[in-house]
Amino acid sequence: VLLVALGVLVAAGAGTAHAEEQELTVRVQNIPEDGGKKQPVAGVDFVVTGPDGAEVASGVTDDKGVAKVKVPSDGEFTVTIDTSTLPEGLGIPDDEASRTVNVTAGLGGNANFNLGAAGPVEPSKAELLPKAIVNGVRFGLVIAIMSVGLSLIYGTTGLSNFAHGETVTLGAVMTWTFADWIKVSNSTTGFGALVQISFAATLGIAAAMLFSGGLEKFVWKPMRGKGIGLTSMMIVSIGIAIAARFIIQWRYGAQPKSYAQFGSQENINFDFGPIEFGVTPRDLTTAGIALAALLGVAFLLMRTRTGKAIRAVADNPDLSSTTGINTDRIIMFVWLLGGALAGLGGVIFGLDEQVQWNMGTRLLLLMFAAITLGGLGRPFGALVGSLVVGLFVQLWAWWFSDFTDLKNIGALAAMILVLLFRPQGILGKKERIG
Amino acid sequence: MSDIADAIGIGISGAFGVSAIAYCLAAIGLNVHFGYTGLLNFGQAGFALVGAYSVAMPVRNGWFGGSLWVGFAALVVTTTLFAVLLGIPTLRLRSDYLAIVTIAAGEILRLLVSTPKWVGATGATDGINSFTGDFEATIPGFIKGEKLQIWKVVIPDDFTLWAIIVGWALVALLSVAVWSLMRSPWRSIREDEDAARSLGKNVFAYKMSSLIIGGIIGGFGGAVLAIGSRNVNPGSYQTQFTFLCYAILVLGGIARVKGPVVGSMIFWFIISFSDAILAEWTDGDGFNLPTWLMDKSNAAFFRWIIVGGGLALLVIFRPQGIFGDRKEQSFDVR
Repeated sequence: VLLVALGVLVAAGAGTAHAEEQELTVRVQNIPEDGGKKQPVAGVDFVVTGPDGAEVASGVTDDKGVAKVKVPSDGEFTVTIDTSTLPEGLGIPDDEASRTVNVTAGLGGNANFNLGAAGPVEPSKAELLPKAIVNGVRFGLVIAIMSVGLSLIYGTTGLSNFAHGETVTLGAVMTWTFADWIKVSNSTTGFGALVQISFAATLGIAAAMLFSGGLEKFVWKPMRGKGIGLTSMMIVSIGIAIAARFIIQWRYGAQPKSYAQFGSQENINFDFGPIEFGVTPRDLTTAGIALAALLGVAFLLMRTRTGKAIRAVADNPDLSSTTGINTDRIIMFVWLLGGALAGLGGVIFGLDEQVQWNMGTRLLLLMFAAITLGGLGRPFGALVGSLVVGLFVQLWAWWFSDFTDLKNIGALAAMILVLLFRPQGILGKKERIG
Repeated sequence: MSDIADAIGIGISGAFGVSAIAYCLAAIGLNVHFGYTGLLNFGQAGFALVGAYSVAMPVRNGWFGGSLWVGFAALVVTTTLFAVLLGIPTLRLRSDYLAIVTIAAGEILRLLVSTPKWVGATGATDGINSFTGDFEATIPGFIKGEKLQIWKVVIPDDFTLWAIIVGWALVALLSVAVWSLMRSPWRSIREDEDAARSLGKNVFAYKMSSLIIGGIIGGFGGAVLAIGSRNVNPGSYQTQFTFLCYAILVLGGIARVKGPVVGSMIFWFIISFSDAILAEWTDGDGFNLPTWLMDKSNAAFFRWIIVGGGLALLVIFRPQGIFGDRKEQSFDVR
């Protein structure tokens, strides 16, 4: 009290001084959710800091929920309340617990804090981990179906196909368009919606296969025939990718679209003692389909004649053609298979997130990271690499929750690091690659 | 007819404008990497980004006195550093690894400067705007009246005129510098790395020198784009930037000194002309394209369809470009 009185005296005495002490009123009140009368909240600690961050005053609210403090001058001050001193059951969002007030000479300033019912306690990092891992595996599986195709194409033809992202986009966009055409209505749910999306997805995947196979027939095969090198082909694939991406945007539009009929679903909860997480039926189904597709590809590669032929062509095209394998047919098969997988990946990613004209392009770099991580040209390497990429992306988002916009960096940096220490990739053959 | 004449005027402005200079410089750098040495650098956008932020950030944040010239010195250091960091893990590997790592590194940088976390230093997704103000005041006035107009080609102000003159002078200077370096063992590495190694050349060191020199030139490209357009925006340095440099290189002729210059001018003429003519034909005035085919919003990105399709067709049917030499065109670098 003495200090305040002194302050008033000083303020009165030094009326002409440049920095004049001003009064700042802090008011903390509770606004009940049912719309009742505002109630003052007493005993809340707060600090006032100046523009340079230094503390200039502090105080506690009285029975009326009010505290008046002196600040050394007029200008902008920041009032921060100590949320740990709030009464039980009351809370304030983090970004509102601190506010900047303009204190004007003669009039002082006011800082009002309106509390509400305390929100649910933020789950801790450890509690969020299972969900992050599940998301990482799901994302990894989606990247895997896309990048297995990219890897098979690279393995059999040696081409880094930059148009693979557009194959993904095309599958997703055509599926969305067909689903939109045949829809009974967006309100169709349950089994009806499932039939609808399956039918549309079949057509969408067929479109992606047509694109991929068409490029092989009309571009890549003639180029191989003319003996044009792989780097030229890679640059051609970049040109095709750019043109195809913007043709898609031209006809489909720039707005992202999502499947409303699968939008809001209740979580299915899994509870394994300490580990608990929820997944929507949609996400569970898409992950299951992705896994089934990958197992199918593995079976095809390991157990069928065609698969054996694919592996032979990947190993040595000349030798395999002398043993009677029709190399061109195998390569065409790989392009169709790659197109189908990319289309399916697009459909699943579109269901999980959104369908947009540049979705494939945004995923392409992660696919390349995945197949480089796993070992270029090794289909199972692509699977391992994809899971690593998916987990890295989601775990980054989990750990650096302030930096989720940078989550792709985790995967890209991991790829560069792996190349430093194990240039052939995780599953790559140890060979001279320099 | 006047539609077409106007569009030609805009096309010529584009062919000599700041973008043409910037992409020309970036393509000269890429020519050192890809054309002369056979390094498949897909991260030229990253080098340009480093260059652009190196000149803009000191001015914005007042570092080292906040002068633009400090930025140019910083540019040489930062692009060299970036090249060394990229080169160490990749230059001993097959060329497609370099491609993937450089493309990834470029994207990492773009994400880093776009994140709101460091908005104070980088301006995040808004970039750094109108940072050239102090510098512009030192440009001597030349244009009397408000703009310089020759036929339908318009130069809006003194600063743009200065940027164009200095920019093309820089192009000439660096082209000559690159030409004088062309006899270095870079090309022997491109033709046959193992042979060069067996003759006792330090292949890694020469590759690294190529990556650094081409990177610095690419950095100058980014700096010119930043200064000439008076702002830096992370969106300008997407992977697309690199692909356009390749298109320019293929257009003008790979591994030719004048290739990037001719390529960039033709490229930006085509882009500016097609943008202008399509805008004219979709504005609802005079002749118009049917709206089911194209409307205003479509016309703005139709250029990319031309660029992408053109790049693919050019590589398939005329890989040596317009003035290239078929013997010199050296696509196959693995």
